[in-house]
Amino acid sequence: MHNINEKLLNKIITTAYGDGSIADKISIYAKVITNGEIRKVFFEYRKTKRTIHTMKHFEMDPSFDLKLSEKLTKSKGSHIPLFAELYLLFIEKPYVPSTAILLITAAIVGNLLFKSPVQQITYKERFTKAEITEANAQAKFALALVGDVLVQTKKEVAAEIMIKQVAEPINEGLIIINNLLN
Amino acid sequence: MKSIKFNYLIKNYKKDIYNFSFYLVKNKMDAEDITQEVMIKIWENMDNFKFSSAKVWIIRTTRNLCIDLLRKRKIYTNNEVEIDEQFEDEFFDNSSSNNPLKILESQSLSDKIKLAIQNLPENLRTIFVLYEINELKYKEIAQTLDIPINSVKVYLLRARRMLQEDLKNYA
Repeated sequence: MHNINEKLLNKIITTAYGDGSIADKISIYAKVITNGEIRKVFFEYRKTKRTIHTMKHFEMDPSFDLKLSEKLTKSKGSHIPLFAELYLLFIEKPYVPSTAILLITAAIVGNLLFKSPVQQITYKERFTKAEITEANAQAKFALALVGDVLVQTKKEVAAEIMIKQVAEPINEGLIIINNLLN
Repeated sequence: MKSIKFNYLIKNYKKDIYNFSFYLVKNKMDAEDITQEVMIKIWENMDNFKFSSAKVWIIRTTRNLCIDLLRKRKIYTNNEVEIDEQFEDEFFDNSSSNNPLKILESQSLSDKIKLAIQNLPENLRTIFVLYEINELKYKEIAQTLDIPINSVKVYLLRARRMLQEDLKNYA
């Protein structure tokens, strides 16, 4: 490790563990690509870091919650209510979420089954024939107006913008390039 | 309300307390005892408990209990090499030989790392476990241990280097 000094090694370690500044990261990555020794050190630390973050740590005894509950009950001056004891007993067990899901499902199904039917009123029952005809005519008029605006805009784009703003500058540019090449 | 708060804290910090104390005291039974003791302390202090500083308080209490225990057991020495009970359970059985070299060879990298972490001096081990395993931030570690943030960074760097050096011995 003769060409890796203290400062560089510290940077390699912090970068490998993902803590380095952006500038440090860039300089270290560049060195990792070009220098085999630095690459080796960097990947050793990186491997350790990845293993630490993915490895399973120590598992608790499954009876821990029960022991804790007993100890808490016995401990001086502390009395755990029945609710807490039950919760402790079932904590992290699948009973709580599954019971909650069951209750929610029952509530939804019950609501759907016993829901009183709402009277559906169609638009034909709410409006007269004359009103509907007039609304149709107004809608057609509004759509025609929008159509006109769109057609006019299309013509304007084709005539004004495409020719004056786009085609002409391109032509001028091509002429300049031609002149330069000639 | 008290029990709901308490259960919330248990659910969120139980594993963190257990893992942290296991790495510090290197023993399953003691780690469980400490975890239980911390839980009881939380319960006893629930009325004055501030949720905003719960994490720092819990980790600090855990560490203090671990240090007390280590002092009592007189194993509070730096660079001590121990094989904890869990490793003993895993690797020492009647059929296999009791050759420590063979046992080490059969361990995976994660087991080697766990051992190497436990071999770190207490101050470095604490910071390393809190940052890398319990995922506390620099600021939280500094508050827990009552040291400057820069010291946390320096100790963490030393711990990482020492851990890597130690892993070479297992290679």
